[in-house]
Amino acid sequence: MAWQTGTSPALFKTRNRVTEVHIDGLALLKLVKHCRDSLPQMVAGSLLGLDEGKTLEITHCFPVPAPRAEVDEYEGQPEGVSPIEGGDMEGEEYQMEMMKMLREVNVDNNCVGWYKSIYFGSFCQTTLVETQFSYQENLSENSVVVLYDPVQSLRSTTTIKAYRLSDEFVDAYRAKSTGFVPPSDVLIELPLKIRNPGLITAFLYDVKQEGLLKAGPRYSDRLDNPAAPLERYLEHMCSWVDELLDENTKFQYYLRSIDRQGKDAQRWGSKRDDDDPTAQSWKNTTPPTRLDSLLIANQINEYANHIQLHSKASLSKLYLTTSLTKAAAPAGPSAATSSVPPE
Amino acid sequence: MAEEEEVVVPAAAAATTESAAVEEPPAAATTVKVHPLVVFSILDHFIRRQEGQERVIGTLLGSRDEATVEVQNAFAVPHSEKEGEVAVGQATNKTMSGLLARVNASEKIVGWYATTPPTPARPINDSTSLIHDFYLQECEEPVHLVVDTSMADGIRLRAFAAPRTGADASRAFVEVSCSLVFADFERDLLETMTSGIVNDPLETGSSLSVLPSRMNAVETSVEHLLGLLDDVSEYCEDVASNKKKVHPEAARHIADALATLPHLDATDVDAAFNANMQDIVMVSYLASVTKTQLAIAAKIHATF
Repeated sequence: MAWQTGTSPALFKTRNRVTEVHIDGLALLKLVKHCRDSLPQMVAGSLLGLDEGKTLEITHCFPVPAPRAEVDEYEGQPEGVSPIEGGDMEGEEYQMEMMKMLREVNVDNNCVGWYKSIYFGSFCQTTLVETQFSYQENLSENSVVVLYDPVQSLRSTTTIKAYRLSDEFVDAYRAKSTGFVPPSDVLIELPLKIRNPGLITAFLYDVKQEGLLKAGPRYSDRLDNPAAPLERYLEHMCSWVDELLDENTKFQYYLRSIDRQGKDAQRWGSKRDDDDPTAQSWKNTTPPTRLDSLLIANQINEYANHIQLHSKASLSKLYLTTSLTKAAAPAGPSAATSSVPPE
Repeated sequence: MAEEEEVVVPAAAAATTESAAVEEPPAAATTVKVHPLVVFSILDHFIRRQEGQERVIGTLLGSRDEATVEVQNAFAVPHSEKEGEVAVGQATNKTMSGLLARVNASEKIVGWYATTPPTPARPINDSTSLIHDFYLQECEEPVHLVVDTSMADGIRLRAFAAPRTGADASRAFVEVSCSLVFADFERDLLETMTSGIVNDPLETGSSLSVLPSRMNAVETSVEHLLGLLDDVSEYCEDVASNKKKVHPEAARHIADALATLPHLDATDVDAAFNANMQDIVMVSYLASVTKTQLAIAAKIHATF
């Protein structure tokens, strides 16, 4: 481990890995508000908190503004490189300034990771991995990235997850090796829980007591028909499979070029005796990075899981409605007549 | 509330005739709407106060629509109070609002908050007006939000405005109506926080809640639906037994809800069920195949 130059003090507590993430209600609300408010743009921010034993506590967060006039459209996926990922100076200055301000009012002045809004479940991108890698290398091994999916949360339950890179992958990535890491082991999901201090819990109970949380009927599917998310998942999955194919082609091209060069070398070697080694410079062949295909595989897997979960939920809904309609069908007319008079 | 405004207008008019200022100052706020995020932020700030500090203050950000102020965000400002002297972190206030404006420019300074001073009977004291004077320079007609952290009667919110009252343009604090408003996501998250609690908050001093999973969501919404059905049938029975009067709007809604159930015979239901079922099973099969493929690929890669 020659790279341990002692620049990062966090490395002292290396063996103390966190296994769970607790996010404060306040931080969560701020994070979600930021991501919601800036739709359709995807945004990012910083997380502040402490790691204590096996849990990482996120107690505060603040948004980091997007660098001016830089919107990157990638085939309909609004996923401009966020300021944190871009490594841009302005964003860094902003973060320092903000942390200085927050320290004055006793907010935990310790950056424990970052958050990012993602679009419809696709998050396995090279930039994300690179940024997370630099966080884990430079800041603390316990840094996490919290991903919030505003689009998905809009239509069903709140989708928010905490991830970090696996040790295995970090080692491989640091060594710049093209070795294989199982795709599902690149990013590790950590269980996320919401924590609220006593005073805020008291406020929550107050609010609940007053019945303010009971909304009127909400139709989560009012925007489009229920089949839409499934279609969207499949679409995304198809495009990711295409990308995996692209990566495959790249790899095959690489293999072929190696093969051709090997033959060239043989021919060249048999023509002349090996007295003139500098005569021909070989075309530089760099192996394609494996990271992309690993990430894509992981992403596809993620979508497959989404689809299965979704179909499970749809199946149960389907059975429910069918049994309801069947139960209602024979009793239908009489029930209708009995309920009309009171009106 | 309307009376308040009537008092304000002539006073303001008098002030403008004196000073050459042309633009008419906006009327003081009469309604304050507060988002729960703001309350969270204030309470968090209070929890993190300096030792010995009796109350905390900060700036409220939001939007103003005529006499209604909606408070969407807040940040803490350091301050100190000693025997009638008040120091407010003006620099912090300026930098912080500048920093936040870069992320969300639509949120402007609309006022300031404080937690209750040691004598909860008097949410307004001498230093309040001093700090309010400071915020008068930051925005027009700031509102003042007081959060009761003494826990005497739960956590109560009170809002004040200080409209000009006399011809000499002096100001006096007036309590205005104050209510919580929720954005959809806030309601969802708060609901999650309260219903997902897994520990005993009284024991640990803080609550810990889990996020609902996808499958739980179906369960909870069915439970919600059952609850609503109970409410409706109770209402119907009350009406039928003449305990309650018919509310035309409610009746209309019930009729609409009943009408959404399509009249289908059993064979149609079966056909639709089967078609839908086949689709879902097909897709889920495809997903499984994809997963298997990926697993095989991973195995092959790992072995060679």
